Amino acid sequence: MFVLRFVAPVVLFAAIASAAGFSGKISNVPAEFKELFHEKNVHVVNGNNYPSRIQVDLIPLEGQNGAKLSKIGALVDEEYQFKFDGLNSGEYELLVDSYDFILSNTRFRVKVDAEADLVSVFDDFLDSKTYNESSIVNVSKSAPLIIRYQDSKQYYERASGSLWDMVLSSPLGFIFKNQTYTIIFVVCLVIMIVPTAVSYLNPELAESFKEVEPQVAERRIERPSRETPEVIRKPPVASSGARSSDSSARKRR
Amino acid sequence: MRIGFNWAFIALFIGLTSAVLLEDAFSKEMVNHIYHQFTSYDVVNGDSIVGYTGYGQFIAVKLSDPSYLDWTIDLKQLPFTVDKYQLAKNNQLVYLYSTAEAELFLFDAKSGIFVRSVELSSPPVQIENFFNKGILLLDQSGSIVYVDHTTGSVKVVKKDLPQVANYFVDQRDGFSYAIVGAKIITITSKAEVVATEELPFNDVKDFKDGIAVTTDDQVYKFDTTNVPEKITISNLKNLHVINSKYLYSSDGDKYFLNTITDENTLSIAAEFKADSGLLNIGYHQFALGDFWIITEKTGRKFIYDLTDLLILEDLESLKLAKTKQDQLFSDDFITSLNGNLVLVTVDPNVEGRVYNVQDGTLYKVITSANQYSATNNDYLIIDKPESEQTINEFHHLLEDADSGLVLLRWLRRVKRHLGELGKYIVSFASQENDEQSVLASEGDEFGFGKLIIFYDDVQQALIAINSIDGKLVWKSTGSFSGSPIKLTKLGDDIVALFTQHLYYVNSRDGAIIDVQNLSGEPTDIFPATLEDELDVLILKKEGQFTLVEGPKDSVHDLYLVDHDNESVSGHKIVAGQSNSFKTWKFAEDNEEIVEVVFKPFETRTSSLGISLANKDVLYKYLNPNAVSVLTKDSANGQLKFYLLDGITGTLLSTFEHDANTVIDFSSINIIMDDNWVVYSYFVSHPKLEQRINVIDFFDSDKGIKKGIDSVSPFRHNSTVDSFTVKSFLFPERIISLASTQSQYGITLKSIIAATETGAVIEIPKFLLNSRRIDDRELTQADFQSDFRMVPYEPVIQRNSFSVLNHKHKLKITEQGKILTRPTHFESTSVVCYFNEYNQFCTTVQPSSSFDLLSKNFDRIKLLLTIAILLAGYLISKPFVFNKKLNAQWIDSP
Repeated sequence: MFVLRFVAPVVLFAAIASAAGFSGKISNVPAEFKELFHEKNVHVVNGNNYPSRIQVDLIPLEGQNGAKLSKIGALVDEEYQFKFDGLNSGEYELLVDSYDFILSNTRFRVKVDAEADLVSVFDDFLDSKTYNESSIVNVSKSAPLIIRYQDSKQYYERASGSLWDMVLSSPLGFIFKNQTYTIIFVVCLVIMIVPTAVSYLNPELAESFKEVEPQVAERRIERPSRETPEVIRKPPVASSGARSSDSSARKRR
Repeated sequence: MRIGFNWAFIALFIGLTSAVLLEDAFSKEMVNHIYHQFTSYDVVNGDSIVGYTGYGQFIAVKLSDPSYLDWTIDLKQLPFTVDKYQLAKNNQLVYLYSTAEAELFLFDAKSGIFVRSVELSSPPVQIENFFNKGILLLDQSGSIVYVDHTTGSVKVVKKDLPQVANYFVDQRDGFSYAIVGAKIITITSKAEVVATEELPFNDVKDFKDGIAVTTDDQVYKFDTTNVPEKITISNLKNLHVINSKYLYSSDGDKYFLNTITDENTLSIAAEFKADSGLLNIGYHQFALGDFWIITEKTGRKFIYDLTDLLILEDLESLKLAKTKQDQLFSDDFITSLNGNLVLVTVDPNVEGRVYNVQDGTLYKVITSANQYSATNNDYLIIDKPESEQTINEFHHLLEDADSGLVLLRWLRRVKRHLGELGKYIVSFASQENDEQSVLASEGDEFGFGKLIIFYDDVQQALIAINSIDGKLVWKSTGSFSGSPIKLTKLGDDIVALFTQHLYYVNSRDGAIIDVQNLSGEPTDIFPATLEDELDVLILKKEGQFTLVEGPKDSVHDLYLVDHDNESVSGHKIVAGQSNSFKTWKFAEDNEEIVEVVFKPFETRTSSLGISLANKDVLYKYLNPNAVSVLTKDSANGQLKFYLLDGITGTLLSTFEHDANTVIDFSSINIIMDDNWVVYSYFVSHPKLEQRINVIDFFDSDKGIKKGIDSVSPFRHNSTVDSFTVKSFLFPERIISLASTQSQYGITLKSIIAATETGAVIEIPKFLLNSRRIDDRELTQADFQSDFRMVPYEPVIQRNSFSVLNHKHKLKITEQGKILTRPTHFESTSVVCYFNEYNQFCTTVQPSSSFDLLSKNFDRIKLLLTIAILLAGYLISKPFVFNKKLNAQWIDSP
């Protein structure tokens, strides 16, 4: 009894003294998300409570003997932070799974040295034989393990195969992806199509256009033929004012 | 490595084909979240009920729509069990705690988001609000501790107080007064003690506005110096404080409003009597109003609005509103609903009434949501039965067709139509909409709607839920006695096995058709089909199988398999007999039986083999009597697989895992279908990972010849010629497995996995293919030798497009059940996941929608294309005609 009274507090003290802890944080999480269930006006339980949809488990790797796996859970707070306290020395596997986010890594090997109050974390990818020793990060309650948010998980596929998708993915797609190009393209198309369209819709107008066209062409031909001699007669830059006055008189006519 | 990545990408791409499009989002799935009922709760923020449920959750439910579970906190995520809560004064925050642990958990009461945990030096005894800025708690060491809402900082306000079970806090004049035992402590708004006084009493039951009432109904009034002054009272019982001037009391069916006079005497100001008997009295404060709720034994409520009385101190200003006599509900709350001040009276199952406080009229009836679940987690999925009307119509049509005389047929038809018209008129006049039968047949032409049937212990009834909308189809009538063991289906009826009875239930309306008394201790019941396609029902009782339903004169023997922890045994019921006898036994030394599975009873396989590139066929091993057994070696914890013949007990195949692998045996799930076995298990050594093992069995010696019935147990080649094994890694822990079923077995199989993270995931079987090549590059012949052959990649990536429940995160439990059932479309299967927290159903198309147009099929585009083609044809026709004509002109000379 005496031994128990004396030893138990010492053991308890030693256990408390040799326990370590660390914290973690999911960083770069956007403040707002555009959610489809908002658009569709569908209620999703805890749909906006993203931290509650992140599961963080620390599993001791020593002492697992085929019985039901023991694990230590942690709550994720509104700042996407979590923490573990009272860890004994040993190796653990940290599994972080978010229902909504794609994270930079979801599996870590955690080595705890409680006596030295040292917690080291390593990347431990699923399909690797062992954890990545060069990825060591020493963490503590004040220096959290940082896990980066990469993207949001998409649960629905955007429809493909629509006409518009086909156009966008065609060689002309670059035109329609740019507003200015699209306007230019449409204007050009209209200029090209209008004469043909008019010939079907209003043949008389088309005929009058056709008649106008030769006249305009003739005028164009005529005008240079009259002006050419004048251009030839144009004096050099340092000419007298008499010819200039002559020229302006013709314009007035 | 690069090639591996490429192939992984291809595999991922292949997986995308089954994704649900944005247009169909949230339209395919049915989700019911089950919270059962509250154990302790409050109405907050107008339209919300928050509180603990009996199933380890702290939740918020909409008062106006109890099926609307706003948010939920899974208490299993907390490091210890919490059972108490304290709402902040503004109802925006809630503290969850236990009186056994020195930690508080603070959550946002509007969203359920975890804010922080607060560590204490000693477990709390009781928490009270401290103005609007924090909480004041008394801990087990006798200290009053202040916790700030904003920062979470903890400050010990006063130590060395008496260690009591409860304490009382009153806030007035900018100070907080705490009575702990026989002490009163004055605390400033900065949580600093300014005075501690001894009291002449230590048994306070109510303390408010400077008035303390003791358990023996003595009343004390405190002045500014905290000196208690005893109030003289005359024979008043059950006293409670309203404010510094008024108290209420009750005696029998009478209740009193009492006032403290200037002479410090408590006198009766008004006396009332509950004519129908007084049940309880409650005093409620909401916003700036004070209300006194009197409940009579008949359920009638008297709502006294004390607000003006307390200000004017004039009894004439007391307002009373009476409700009508109604059903009695357990808890009352005053709240504001859509801008109206209302009295909410509800039961823990969120069934109740809402009354206007002004006039006592009924504002709203609160009807509890579907909260049915199977306590024993036994769920049965069945096709919806044809309605009586359809069967009658069919019957009459047959009758009409049989008769030879035209006139007679016409007369019969007229008679039937007149009868139907009469029925319609009667039902229309009586306004009896036979909702249940409508629900049982509505919108079910293609078999998409299924019934999920289970026994609810709380309701003590069989419940049928519609898989399309999650609504109740029927609740069984009649009573069941004993504990439920198992449900099964026989023909159109449901058979429910209870400890002492066997109930036959009509699947259309839940009516009990027949009851059989049972002796002994039955443990299982299941249907079987004889070779002549006759259904029989077999009961397992005390290690023996008995034929309880079916033809007694059948010429076919029945073979059955049973197992316990140590062995697997074969049994036989000889044709013409009812009871079984043991035929064989399989047991290995020092091996414990972990799992025994067979192929699903109704599985279909249409493909007998895999066509190879060399035009040969790799025949599947399709023995329908094969039994898969997983065992654990007691000496070294090694996992072993055995394939047995269920009729002869012959060992067909075996496979052993590495003895150095440490497996969590509680995590093992195994399914068997077609020619394959898939089992999942979680490994803790050498690396923590979820593994899926796939074994495909082949019968390449061509034992199945053309014309031989592949499902005959007697003519089937009973030796496995070869098998292939592959192990895969899955990123999430698998809790439950199942395989999809289709009507004819043509569609590819998919594996449905329910994972710990709350997802029900579809994994195509062609990804879990044990023939994937891992030791060389794939050749053209390899690609042609299997469907969608890809090189072996150990990790099956979690593709979020394959998550069937999409954004709805489910709470997956080990007891939960994945249910699958084919529809009338070969491409489509119904998949459900049911447990005590969720009811989820959706449809899957493992081979895509090859026989069914999807909802977003662009019919307009199709019509437009046809129209354009037609227009092109019509426009070009004259040109073509002219061209041909011109061609003839040219050729003529």
